[in-house]
Order: sequence, then C-alpha cells, then structure tokens
Amino acid sequence: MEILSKLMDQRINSLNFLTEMSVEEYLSLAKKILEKNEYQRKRVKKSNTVYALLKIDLVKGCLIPPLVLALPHTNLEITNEKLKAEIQKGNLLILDGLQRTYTLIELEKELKDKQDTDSLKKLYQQKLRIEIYFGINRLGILYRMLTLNTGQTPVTLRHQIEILYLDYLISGIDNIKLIREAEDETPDKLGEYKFDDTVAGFNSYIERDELPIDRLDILENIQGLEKLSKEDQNVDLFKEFIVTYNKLVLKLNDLSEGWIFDKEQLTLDGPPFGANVQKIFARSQAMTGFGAAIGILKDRKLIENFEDVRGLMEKIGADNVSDALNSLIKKLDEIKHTSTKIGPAQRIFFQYIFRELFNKEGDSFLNLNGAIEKGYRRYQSQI
Amino acid sequence: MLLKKVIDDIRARFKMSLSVKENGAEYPIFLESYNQITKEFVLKDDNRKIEVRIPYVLKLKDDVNPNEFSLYLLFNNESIENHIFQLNEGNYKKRLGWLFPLQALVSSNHDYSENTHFLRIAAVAFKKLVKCDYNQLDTQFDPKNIPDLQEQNGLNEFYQAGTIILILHKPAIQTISDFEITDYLPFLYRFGYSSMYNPSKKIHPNVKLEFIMDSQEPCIKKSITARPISKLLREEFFIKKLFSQSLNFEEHPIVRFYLLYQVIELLIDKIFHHRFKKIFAQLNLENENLWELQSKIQEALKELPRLNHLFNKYTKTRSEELRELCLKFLNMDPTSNQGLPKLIYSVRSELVHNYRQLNSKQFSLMNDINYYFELVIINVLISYTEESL
Repeated sequence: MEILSKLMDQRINSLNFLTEMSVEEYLSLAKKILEKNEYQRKRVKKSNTVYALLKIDLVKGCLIPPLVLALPHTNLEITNEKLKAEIQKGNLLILDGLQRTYTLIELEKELKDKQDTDSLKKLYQQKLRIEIYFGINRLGILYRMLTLNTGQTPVTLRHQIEILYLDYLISGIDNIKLIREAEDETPDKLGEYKFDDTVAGFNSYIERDELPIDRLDILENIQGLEKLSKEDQNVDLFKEFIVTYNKLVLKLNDLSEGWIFDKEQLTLDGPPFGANVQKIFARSQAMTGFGAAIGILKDRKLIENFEDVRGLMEKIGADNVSDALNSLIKKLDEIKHTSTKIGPAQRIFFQYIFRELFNKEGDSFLNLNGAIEKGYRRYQSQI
Repeated sequence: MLLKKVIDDIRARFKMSLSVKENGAEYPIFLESYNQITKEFVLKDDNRKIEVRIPYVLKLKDDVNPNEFSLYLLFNNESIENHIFQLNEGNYKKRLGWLFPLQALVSSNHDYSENTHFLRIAAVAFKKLVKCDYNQLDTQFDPKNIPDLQEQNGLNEFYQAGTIILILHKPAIQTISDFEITDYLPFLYRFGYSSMYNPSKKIHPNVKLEFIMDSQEPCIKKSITARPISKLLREEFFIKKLFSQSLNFEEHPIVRFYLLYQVIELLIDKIFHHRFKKIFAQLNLENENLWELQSKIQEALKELPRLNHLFNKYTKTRSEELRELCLKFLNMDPTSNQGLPKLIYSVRSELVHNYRQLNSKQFSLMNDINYYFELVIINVLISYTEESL
C-alpha cells in the first residue's frame, strides 16, 4: 500500500488519506472487514447487470472510482507506518464501494473456479485507489456515509447506523449491555437492551419519527441528513442516546419502588405489555417513542441536547407511581385490542408520553401520571 | 394462437406468484429457501438475479403438514391485529380452523405471538402466502400488491391492507357434508369480513364492540362459532352476490336498505310457495269448504301475514334496537309495542312511496337502521326453516 496524500476534513474533523494498493492487497483487507462486521455482510441483491459488466471490465483492466473506507480511532496524531499497521488489522468500515467490493470478491472466486490463472494474476496486480477517513467521529462518518451514498446501491439510514455502531455490541456502553437479536436472548435486567431496538430508537431520534420508514432513496433521507448536520459532530450521539435512555429507565425503576404487574389488581384481556419497569421500557415501542419525542422537542427548542434531558430526569415525579404504571399498562392493553397495527400505535402513544414528560411548556412537565393521561388523550385524538 | 398462449401463461405465472418492481420492471419471484440465521424467507426470480428477503418475526413452528390446510383470503380494511380467532362450526360443533388478519403474521405484538397452536398455523399460512397458495372467493380482483424491491420486504407489502386469513383444516371440513365456505360468508360479514376488497368501506363502530361484549352468539374473544345459511337458501344467487359484492360497494343508505329488503321479498315469496303447496297438499275437494279455502289462499297471498310468519315461525327473529329505530323513523310513539315485521314493512313503504317527503332526521337514522337490519337479515338467512310448519 502506498499513501499518496493526507488531508484534513474540517467538516467532520477527520483525516483523509488517499492510498493506492493492489487488488490482491485490497481483497485480503476487504475480507477481514466483512468478516468483522456482519451488517456489512448483508448484500442488497439488485439486478446484477451493471455489476456483471463491471466484472468483464475489470478483467480487461479498467480503473474503478476510489473506494472509501473509515477507520474509527481515538488519536488523530498518527504516522504513515502506524496507519498501515492499523489498516491491516481490518477494523474498518466501507463507506462507499460495498457492492464493488463484493463484485471483486465474486470475480476472484469465478476466476479461481475457472482456473484462469492469467486473468487472476492480472486482476491481482491491478491498482485501486482507496480513500480512508481516519478519526473518532462516528456521527461524522454516518453523515459522510449518507452524503457519499449517491451510488447505484442505496442503503437505508438504519442500516448505516447498524454498521457504524456494531462494535458497541461487543464493548457495551458504560454499564449498559446490548444484546444481539440472533442470540435469542431477551433483556431481563436493568441496563440490558436489544441492539436492534437501540438502533431503531436512535433512528427515530434522527428522523424525529417513532415510525421511521426505511427509505433507500438518498433524496428521501435528506431530512435526516439535515438534522444530522446540525448536531454537535464532536459528540457520540448514539452513546448519548443510550446513556440518557438508560438513565430514564433507572429513574423510573427507582420511582416505581419495585412495582410489578398484579393481575388481581388490574384485569387485562391478555398478557401485560411488561410486568415491571425494566420489561416495559426495554421494548422497542418505548425506545422509539423516546427517540422521536426528544428529537421533536429539540427541534422546537424546548430542550438543548441529551445532557439537558438527563438533568431534567432527577426531577421526574409521580403522584402515585403504582397508579401511573397500572394506568400505562391498561392503556397499552386497550391499544392492543383496538389497533389495526399494535406496534406503531404503541410507539405513537409512547412518543406522546415522553413529549408531555419533557415539555417544559406543558402541564405534565416532569409529572409521570399527567404525561401518561395527556399522552393517551393526544394519541386518541390522532387515530 | 401460440402468442396468445404465451401471454396467458405469463399472466398466469404473475398471478400465481408474488412479484417485485425494480428499475421500472416487474419480476415474479418464487420461494427458494428459509434462512435460519437471519430468519428470512428468500425468494428469487427465474433468472436468479433478483433476491427478495421476507422476514419472519414469529417463532417458526414448522411441524405441521401444510397440505392439510386450505387458505382463503377475506378482507376487512378496519381489522384489528389482535383479532385472532379459532373458527368453530356451530351446527357440527367442530373446530374448522383459524381466522386472523395478515398483520398477525408480520407482528409479534399480539396476544398469540407465543401460542404454540397459533404459531404452527402461522407458519403454514405464511408459507402458503409466500407461494400464493390461496383461494379467493371472489376472483374479480387481484388481492396482491407489487412493492418496490427493498433490503427486506414485509409479507404485508405483497397483499392489500386489510387482508384476512381464513385457514381451514381439511380433515375437519371433510366431515361436514356439502361444506362450502361461501355458506358462512353472511355470518362472517356481520363481523366486517367479506370476500371482496373495498378500501373505502366503513365498518359500523358497533362491529368492533361485538368482539368485546359477550353477545348472545357464542362469539367470545378467542373463538368464533360460525353458522351457515339455511340449506334451503344455498342455491340463491342473489344472497351470495349480496354479501360478496352488493353490500360491499353500495354506499347509499336507501339503496342498501332496498338490497337488504330484497332478502325479505325473496323469503316471503318462498313462504308463499310453501304455504300454498301445503294448502293444496291438504286439499280434499270433496269435503272442502271452498269459502274457507278462498280465505286461506287470500291470507297466504297477503304480504304482512307472510312477514309475520317469517319473523315468528320460519325464523325466530327479534331486534329491539331495530324496532326502536323504526319507531323513530316513522315518528311513532316510542312506547308503542308494535311488532318488528309491521314496522320494517312500514319503513319500506315510506321509502318506496314517500321518499320525496323524507326529512333529514329520517335520513340520519338510515345507517343505524341498516346496521341492525343487516344483523336481522343474517339471522334470518341462517335460521330459516320450513320444518314442522
């Protein structure tokens, strides 16, 4: 690999290295990248006509546009040699060029299967230009991924988030544990959440919508991009979101004084939405409702940022916590029995609850009972 | 001829498969496999260039033979996700199958998402829908949609909103002589289920309540006990058309009333024939008092007595709600104990003879009158009998 240029991207506070490497070297690196990030393994299967042509052209020695990778790292002070060593570890993300990468991998396999050693050798020796963004700023990387994604293979905002924050599955965030869907584990302790649900919640925050549609068209994602562009790029926003939400859950758990759903006290037509605070608020409906609510309040300048929200949490109170939670369970049960689509309806309800709870101009500001009652009335007025 | 056959085959193939749109073109897709890791059904087009992934969010319980089930599509564009019912047969006291919205297959938020019995049926239904292995009771429209290809496409994107799954266990229905699901459509219609899709059809608010209240019909939250229409009426084309098409699409309340009243006309005509035949069967000209005979015949001809017979002898039909609405419509004393047959006949006469003089209050009552009249008609169709009469 040869480093040709090094520039600073002031917008996202990252270094940008332009490198040149052989296809053989890139393929070795790409396989490590795809192995480490399962979300980048998901290939969007579109019509392969364009990529079939690309394969033919590659065998003829065509030059493809630069691929763009990102290397999240804490220290921007780095020598070229250290950069090469970091790259070789393969802890990179492919920002632009995922489908071209798959095309190269497939072409390599086809040539090996055909035992076309001459073409394979020629392919391996070809040069590729690779841009590598180097820096901590995930939000900036997310922003750059979306703005770069004007290629033939659109990817949803949600998918980009999954790719970007996957390593939190391994490392966790503070005392918070994220659980992978495939493990068939369910969060059953405070501080545990499904990774997919946290991604959905964060997506809802960015989109200001508890029901974000997975849009593939970059132009339709523009609203999300505009929101992102206004965020503080030096902050790990996903981490802020999770930490803030978890703090809310812990606060509500404290307030609940060990509340557990009691079927003797409250008759429902089916199982309760959650039998305790952890079970209620670990669910995707609550997280997406929270994300959307905070995003909307931020747009209306009723809160500054997640730190602001955390500051408010200490002051949350309830007239009678058991009554509030019973009321919440009862209303969620009614929604279940009257909705054409239960999940979206419950998300809308939670969004209204959190908007009431954190709206300093509202009557139910920091009052859990009031927020639930008013939130339900607002939900009913919308259906 | 050959070209026509090719075109017909292509059309048939599209109809028998799901399809997706990509870059302006439509591609029929066919089930390839189920990915246990990603929990997705994978479908591909003929050339294996288009891959569609349909997620399955419920636990896959795959231990039932799908060939033992028939799947029918019904529609209810205000269906509730949690309305998942076992379907029982009222006359034979048998479980026939399940009735639930397609939404229940793409969500784990309802009460049955952990129920093993439902999960088995759900797996069968999902696979059948993915393969378009369903029966449509009214084939005048295609219940499928063609969505744009996405990273994942939900099964509900491929079917009209409001699609209801009726899945029947073949061994069960084979024990019922002359079983036809269409005979149960009027009963299911009263709960908002119909064989045709109409996105603008409004369901009366009381229909939703029927599922919550413990009504006189054994229709509790977890099961529906369906009853077919009377055997004597199963060949009546008008009745089938009424519940599959006419009532689905006719919005004007006066016309809806006329359509429903046609059932009354049909049945009192049947009653006339039945009574007339009886009179003549018992006739003994030698001993017959011809004046009495004439009187019996005249009586058999009169409409109102036949209406009374319909409501009181040939069926046992009551509806206090409809009776009170008719009294209001006719501007009669609300404490009157006038019977329902006479009242419904009077409403009909007002609409036929005095339509030009109806006021806005009367018009405003028509939707509620029709709602209860529908229930009465359905009850009449189910319970009509000529036995022991």
